[in-house]
Amino acid sequence: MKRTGIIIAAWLLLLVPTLLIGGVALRLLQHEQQRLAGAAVAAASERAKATAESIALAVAEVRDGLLVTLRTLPQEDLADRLDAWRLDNPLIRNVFIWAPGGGLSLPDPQQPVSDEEADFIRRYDALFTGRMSWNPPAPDPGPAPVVDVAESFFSARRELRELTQSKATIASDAAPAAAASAPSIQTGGWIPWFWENRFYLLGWIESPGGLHRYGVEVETMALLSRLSGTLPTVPPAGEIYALVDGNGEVFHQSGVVAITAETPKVISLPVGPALPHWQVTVYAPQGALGQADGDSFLILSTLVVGAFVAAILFGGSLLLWQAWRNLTDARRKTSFVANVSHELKTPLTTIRMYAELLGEGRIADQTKRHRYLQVIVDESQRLSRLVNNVLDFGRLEQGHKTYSLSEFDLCETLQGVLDSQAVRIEGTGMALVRRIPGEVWDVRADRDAFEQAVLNLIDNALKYADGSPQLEVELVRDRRNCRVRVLDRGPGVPPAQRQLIFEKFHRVDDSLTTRQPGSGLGLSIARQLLRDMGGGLTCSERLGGGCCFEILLPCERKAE
Amino acid sequence: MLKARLFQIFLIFALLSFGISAAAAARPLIGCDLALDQEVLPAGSSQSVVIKVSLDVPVIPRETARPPVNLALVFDRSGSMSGSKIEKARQAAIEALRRLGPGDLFSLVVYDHQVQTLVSAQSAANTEWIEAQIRGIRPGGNTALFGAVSQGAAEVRRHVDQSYVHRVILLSDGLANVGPSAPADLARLGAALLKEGISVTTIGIGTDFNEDLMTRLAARSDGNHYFVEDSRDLSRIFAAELGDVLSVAARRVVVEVECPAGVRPLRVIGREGRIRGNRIEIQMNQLYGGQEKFALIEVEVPASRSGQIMNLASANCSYENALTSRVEKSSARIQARFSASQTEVLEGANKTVQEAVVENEMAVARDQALDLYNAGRKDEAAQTLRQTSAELKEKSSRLGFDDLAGEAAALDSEATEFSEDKLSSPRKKALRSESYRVRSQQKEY
Repeated sequence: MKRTGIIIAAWLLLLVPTLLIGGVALRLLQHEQQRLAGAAVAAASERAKATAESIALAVAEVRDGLLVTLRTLPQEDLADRLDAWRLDNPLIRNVFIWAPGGGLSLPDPQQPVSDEEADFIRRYDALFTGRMSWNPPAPDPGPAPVVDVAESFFSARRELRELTQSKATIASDAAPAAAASAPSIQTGGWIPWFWENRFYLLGWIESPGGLHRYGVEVETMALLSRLSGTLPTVPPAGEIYALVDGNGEVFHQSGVVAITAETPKVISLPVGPALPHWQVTVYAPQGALGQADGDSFLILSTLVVGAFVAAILFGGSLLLWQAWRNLTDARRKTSFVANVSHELKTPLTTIRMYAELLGEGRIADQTKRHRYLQVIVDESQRLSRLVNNVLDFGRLEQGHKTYSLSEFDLCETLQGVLDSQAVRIEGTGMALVRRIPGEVWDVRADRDAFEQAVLNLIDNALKYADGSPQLEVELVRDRRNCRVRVLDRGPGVPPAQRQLIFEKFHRVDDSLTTRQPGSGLGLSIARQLLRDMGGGLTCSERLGGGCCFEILLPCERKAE
Repeated sequence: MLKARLFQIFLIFALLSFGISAAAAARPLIGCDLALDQEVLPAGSSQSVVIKVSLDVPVIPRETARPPVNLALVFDRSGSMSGSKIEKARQAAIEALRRLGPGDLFSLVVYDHQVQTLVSAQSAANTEWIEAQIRGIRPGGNTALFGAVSQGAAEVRRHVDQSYVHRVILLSDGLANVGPSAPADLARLGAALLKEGISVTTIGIGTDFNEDLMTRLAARSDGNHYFVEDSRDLSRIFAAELGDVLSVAARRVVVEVECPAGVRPLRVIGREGRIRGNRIEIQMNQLYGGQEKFALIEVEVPASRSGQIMNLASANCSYENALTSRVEKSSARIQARFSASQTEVLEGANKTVQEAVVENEMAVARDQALDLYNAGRKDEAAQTLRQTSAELKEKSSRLGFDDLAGEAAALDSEATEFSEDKLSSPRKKALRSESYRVRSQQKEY
């Protein structure tokens, strides 16, 4: 029992750490999957950031470029020059000249030359009539990003850009002083303008001396048309990049799947003051980003971990089971040796005692002497059966048992075995009842092996069905098989034991103090012999008490 | 003696050839011509006169090397194109491609909700591969029209500095539902592209596209617009468009009309134009060989005495000759004579000009009426048509053109259609595209 306990403890020692390691591995894998998904999101937000930055830069460059050109325009024939520039440059929608006191001089508010100019005058009415400041407060950069990104990240390009912009702001703030001291530096700036739910951009500078202000309105559609190329042309699978306008509508998208209101957003980054309220948004139509990759990674790695854990548990359990089996085998062998010694010793003692009695010559009664001799013969026969069984067991175990198959009449053979055992059976007080047909039923088997199997069954019945009034032996056949049944009215075999009694060394009552001697080999050997010859041996409950052993042997086809 | 004779002959030849070449150099390719709807004006009162500025482009002879074409085909492959539409469109595109020569550039942009450049700008010589790309176009998805035109323009822009005829052909059958979709926005894009010399021709298939968007994009970029109700007509449309594109004779055309003091420009009929003081400026991107393009300018003429002859306008047309890539100029001027005689005035009426005026005024009225109708102001739409009809009838009858007055009466029956709210989508598209065709003097297709 102690050893079994050790084995169970060893098994637990194997099981618990293995499961623990498996669990920890799964946990780590989950972390890895989350990290992968996180990396995908980080990469996407980097790309979005780069896109937003390049859009912001492109707009800034356009703005700077236009202002530089404005500054270099000579003052004479300014209106014509501005108009010629407007006609030539696709990025310029309208041009204007405005004087602080005199209002617009280009375009002429009284006689706009086209509908477009009329619209322009209407659009900026608030500015040109002085209701709005020319230096608007810094525009709202737009809503905060949906997902937090490392905001500390700032590319060198943007820093430089902001540096130049801050200078511009200073120049603008210190307008009167700067203009007075250095007339070559002109005040100017950009005004983001919203009109009828559309975004416009107006750039202006002040002429030296502050006489008038002139500038351009950017052709936003032309600008945006060129910006749409800044989105990644072929985004990674499962990602959609979109430029979303100030009204939350997708302006341009790149990616295979159409964006709907339900498409999950991964990240939204504002483009910045260049395009107020515009955003670069990354969508993941299949849910979380990197989820598909992460999922397949997790499934695969879970399978691998599962296989490892299963292999460790299986291998370990196998070893422990083997150990446990060896343990029980060792225990059975010990008990076998003890049993066999006991078995050998009993007939030997009997033989020796009777032989001594006879040797002393003190037994004068002829009948008695005859009986004693008979006892010696019986006991030596029992001894030889036991030795035969042990030998057979040895051969069977090693697989060295050879069978000499021959054709014989089963009925006759069975009668012969029973004849030889009749005296012994009846000697125990049991009546032998035979139900054997007087025909010739040929089988092909090892005759000795068959006889031994039947003998073992009879031995078994004599040992354990002690109180049975009779021992019945019947022989029946069907189309394929011949069946020899040995039936008794003994105590029977408990159902749980009906298979176990065929195990080697197994005895229902496996204690040295048991009433009946035995090696626990008889039934095991009988079944092994019969199986080797293509037959079998089963034990079942007999109706009305007792048990029924049934030998099964295939009939010889020729006999049919 | 013989030597002197030979020298004489040589001299004559030399002089002759110099004369011919000088004449050729002097005569611009495109003739600019001014005409009035009334060459003789009634004396005594101020009045309005229509000046027709025509640019007459000669047919370019077949043997003349035509300017190479830089064509971007922007192809709608949204879900609504599936079936025979895309099949016919593919076929038409392939036919169009085959008409290009190895010196031409071709690019192909397809779009649903995403815009994809299938063929980036390259020589049209590689037709087999390009045709395979066209055949591989499969429908599905939304309509990112703005992005697609932008990308088509970007492909064209890669060679925009070279002397190609730049053209984007947009094929669409549905409403733009990704990106800007307001006609005004697309018009601004068109206006910007025009400055780069890129025209956008729009082909609307079926009855679901936004005709305002498509015509305004074409109008602002000086391209053509076609309305194709039945996709089987696509081949013909592409042939017509290619016919125009392959016969471009002049680029970047600017017409400046200047009126002397006293003559006040009122408006440009049918076309976009800028009136600054007494100067009128009209821009066209491309002129096609064998086609006349014109602009109608209404001016106010001050009261004059009978017998007086007055300068009404001088026109300067500058353009880039597409065959030689040189900038050329042509100019013209027009005078009007005033007479107290009613007969003289009637005799001086110019039917060709008046016909153009009637057609264009009708087209403008239809466009305005359609705008009003789409804005839900049906009665105003009908009112506009009836008013224009009445004015045109009155003027035509006054000039003695009763047949033109009859033509103008067609607007009255249309006014009924408008007011009764019976305008179907195809009818609207047909009206819009017809107006556009008249106003831009696009060839009939």
